[in-house]
Amino acid sequence: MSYAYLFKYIIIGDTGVGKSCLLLQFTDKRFQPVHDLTIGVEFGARMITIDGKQIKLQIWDTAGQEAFRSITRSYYRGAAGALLVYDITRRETFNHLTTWLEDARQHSNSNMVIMLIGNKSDLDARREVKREEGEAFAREHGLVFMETSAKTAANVEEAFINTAKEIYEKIQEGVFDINNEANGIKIGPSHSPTIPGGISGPGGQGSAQGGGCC
Amino acid sequence: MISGLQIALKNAIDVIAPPATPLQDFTYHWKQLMNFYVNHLNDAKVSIERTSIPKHLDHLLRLLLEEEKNGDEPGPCLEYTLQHRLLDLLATLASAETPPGMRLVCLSFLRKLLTKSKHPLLHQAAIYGSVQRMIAMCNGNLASPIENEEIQFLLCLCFLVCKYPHVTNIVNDSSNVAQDGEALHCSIDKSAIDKVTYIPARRMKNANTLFKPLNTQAITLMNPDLFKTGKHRPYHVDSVNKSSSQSEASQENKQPKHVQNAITRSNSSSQSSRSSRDVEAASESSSPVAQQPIDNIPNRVPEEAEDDTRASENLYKVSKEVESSKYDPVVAALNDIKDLRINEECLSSNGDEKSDQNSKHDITFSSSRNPEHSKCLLLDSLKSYINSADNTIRIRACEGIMVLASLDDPFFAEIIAKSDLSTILAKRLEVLFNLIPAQVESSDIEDIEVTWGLDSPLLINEKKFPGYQRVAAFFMWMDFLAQLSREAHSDVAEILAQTIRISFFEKVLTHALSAHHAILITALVTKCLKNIPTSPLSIEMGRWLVGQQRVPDIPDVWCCPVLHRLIENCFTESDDLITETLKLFEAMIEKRDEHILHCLVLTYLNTRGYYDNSAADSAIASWSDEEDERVREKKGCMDITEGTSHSRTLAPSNIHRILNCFLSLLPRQLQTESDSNYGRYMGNWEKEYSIIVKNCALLAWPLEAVTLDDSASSDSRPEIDNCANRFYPGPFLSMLLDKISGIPKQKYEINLHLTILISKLALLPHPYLHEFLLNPLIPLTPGKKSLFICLQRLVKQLANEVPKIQNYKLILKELRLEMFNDCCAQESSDNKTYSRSKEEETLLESVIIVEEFCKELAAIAYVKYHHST
Repeated sequence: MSYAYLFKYIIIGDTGVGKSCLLLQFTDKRFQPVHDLTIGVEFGARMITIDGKQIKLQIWDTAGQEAFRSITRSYYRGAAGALLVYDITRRETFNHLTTWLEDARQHSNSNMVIMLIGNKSDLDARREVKREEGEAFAREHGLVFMETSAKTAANVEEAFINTAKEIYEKIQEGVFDINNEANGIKIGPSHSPTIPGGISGPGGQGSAQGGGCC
Repeated sequence: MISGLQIALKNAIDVIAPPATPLQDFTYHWKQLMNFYVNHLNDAKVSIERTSIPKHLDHLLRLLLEEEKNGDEPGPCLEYTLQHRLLDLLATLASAETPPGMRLVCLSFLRKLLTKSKHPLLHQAAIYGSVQRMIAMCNGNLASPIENEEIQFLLCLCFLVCKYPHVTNIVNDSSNVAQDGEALHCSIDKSAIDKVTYIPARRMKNANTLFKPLNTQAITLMNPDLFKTGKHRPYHVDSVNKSSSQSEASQENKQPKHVQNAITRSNSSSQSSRSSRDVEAASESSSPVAQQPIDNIPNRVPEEAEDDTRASENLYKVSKEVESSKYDPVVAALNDIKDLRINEECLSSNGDEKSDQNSKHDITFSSSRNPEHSKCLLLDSLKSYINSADNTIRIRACEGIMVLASLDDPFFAEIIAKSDLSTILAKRLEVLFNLIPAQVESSDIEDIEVTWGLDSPLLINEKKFPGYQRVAAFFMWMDFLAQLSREAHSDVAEILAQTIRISFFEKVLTHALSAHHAILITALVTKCLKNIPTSPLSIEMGRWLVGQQRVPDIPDVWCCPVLHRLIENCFTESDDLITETLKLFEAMIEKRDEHILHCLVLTYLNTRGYYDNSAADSAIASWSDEEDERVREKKGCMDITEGTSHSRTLAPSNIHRILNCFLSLLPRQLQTESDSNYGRYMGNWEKEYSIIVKNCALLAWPLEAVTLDDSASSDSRPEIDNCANRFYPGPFLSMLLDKISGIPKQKYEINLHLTILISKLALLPHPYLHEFLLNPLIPLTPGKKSLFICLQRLVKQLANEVPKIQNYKLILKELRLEMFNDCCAQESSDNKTYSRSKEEETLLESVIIVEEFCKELAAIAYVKYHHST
């Protein structure tokens, strides 16, 4: 299946906030209540449509563990979008956002679109971070904000797609140099009917996947 | 009604036969698992998928994890696991691969247990011993169909090492432990080892002491040498080797014995028929860890477990028999090789510290034959996968190495730094470099975008040009090394960067720059330099390029062989080599590395030797800001607030005179544009300059160009005068000025890169460099050249020669159109209205180059001026 653009995403945030679950919900439309720890970096991909154009999202799910940050930092490079996730039921994951943001800003290209996500909105009873706080943080740092639930799938599609829309707009405005692959955007193969890389189509988990998952 | 009946019935059954407790369940599944071995004494070759072993292991895992949900105390199943050393048994079975596939299943079981358990199990003697043996089984040098599971297992251990901070604490503390061990390990007797590696059953009731790590234990995960008396190395379990039971003293004699054994075994297949009794004895004596349960359990274990003790004894017999029946020469040889390596490790570890320092200077690559040299078992195992043909496996191994290397623990970092990790990583770089085909076009190198991770485009099977995959593989590895040097603990990073400089840059690249394919090599070096982010590696690369010495070179005596070579390459016959080398210099300047800029340019200008003080004193001809200020001072109108935040050197108030110097340099008849529009260059330079100023802020360059003590008489400071007389702009600036003079004869490409290079130098916010390149008004030491002087001479030469060409004005206009419309492609004689020879064309092109270059310099001078006002 061919695509007009390929966007590279990275999902970051503390361990246990639901990064892998968000990805699984987005790519496979299912929820796994007991998800294994991500060790290293894992991969998922899905095709979406914006403005009548096929866009392939190539999403890199990172380990939230502090010790794995050294690896994560290598993946910031060439990412067009980032989902910065915290857990609304755990205040400390919200408190760590600044460090994550610093890391992201320092190691990515300056045009990277960052979406702030407060996950686990289904657990409203156990909420520790108010929606307004998330909004305020996003406003202060120039991020897009959304609360999601990987469990109920609420806003999950929107989170990924809105980020893509924002990137798409930036391309239209000429902010992104699409000829430079280091920006995390690739123009699709115009003639070739196959997708390079043996990466499977929509909803598929790619061949590169597999670390620490069982 | 019916349901009520059911409940009643169930209650009745429960009274008669209560439901199994988790422990009963657990022991049931364990016994079932063991039963396989009892029932398959002679034919354990059944594939594991056809046995019930995976199913039982799953149940065991489930029970262990479920029990954790009930509280923080370790449950009975876990206790049972620890007491009976179930994992040790599993490790033995895994190493024997009985039944085939057992290793995969055991790796997976252990990985899941360790990552999912909320207890930091790794500290348990009963667990980490098995883990160590499992690590030793993971060897990427032996092609294995279960590489993926192996690497995941190793990565999960990396994760655990990081996850539980007290592991690193233990590593910290163990610096003492290790030293003690060094001194005492000869006297460590078996009971002492037992004491630290075995936890008595009664103490296991107490959760707190149980789950507090025992000091000496986790360190051995990192540092297997701690107990390096031959007795206690767990590897020997699978190597069935008598010699390991011998005393420490005889260790040095062991090596030849192993070799001998290997030879005799592989020669005579009759060895495989050694009596099982013999094998058993050997195995027992060589594996105290595995033996312990048999010794200890009957004394300490509650009665209920006795059956199982018997079962496990049975298992031991079985597994030993299995081992002996499986005994074939190939396996034996492999095992012996393994042992050999371990022994060498032990032998060499004593002299390690000394030899390591030497090896910094004298790195030889015998290690490729014998890579396991570090004291970290986990790291050794990971290292063995870096040459895996499978990208994913290799990258996972790299991830593991990065995680371990970036652990913030000085003691552990020291272990890694002293290991041969950096040598092995650098060796791979060399191998990949040598695989790059020589026919790759240097122009293709620039566009390669790869990163080391799984997201790298190399994984996408693109073939942009022949040899792309190999070039990309090289840059992928380079990227990993660069990122590693950035992320790793500073001790590790420094050693790594130095090793790469010595054993790759100096040993391989220096020579290659003067060899046959210097053009391609130069392009590769340029690309490396651009791609390596600021890190210890980029610093070392800078040192390689410009030398380590920071004092200026004396003319014609060059200390740095690489810089020397590069500058010579700028004077070769090959236009392509000159162009590539100029591009490399451009990348060096763009790097804005303090050391590179200092050695290349600044060290020669910092004495201001080009500045003629005596002329400045007369102050008549001078129009520099410095003079203005002096005049102002004399007049008494001191304006202190001004000039503190910005430099009067960089932003002369005589800017319009300076601009005019550049813009009117070329005689009117040679100009192809009437309005000298330098504004169009300004936008770009402005953007770039604001970035550069930010980048260079940390370099602590002086704000003003000053001659040391203006008022001092020349007698009191003779050395300054000497400096001035001997002013030498250094090999690099001399080369640039020579090249400027050569513009009329040089190809367009070369001239283009030359002028870009100088523009980028001129843009740097350094006062002396600025004066030398951008201020035509300063009084120049007689007989010395500045950029402006060279340009003046060049223009004079052009003004003489160009008018000799017929119709030169029209040809100039035509050329300009061609150059600016970028339609050089259709360069055929038909399109040319006016005939000209090749030389004439080069000459006329150079006129346009000079015209534009002057505008660029004017624009840069203005941008710098504008920026600081």
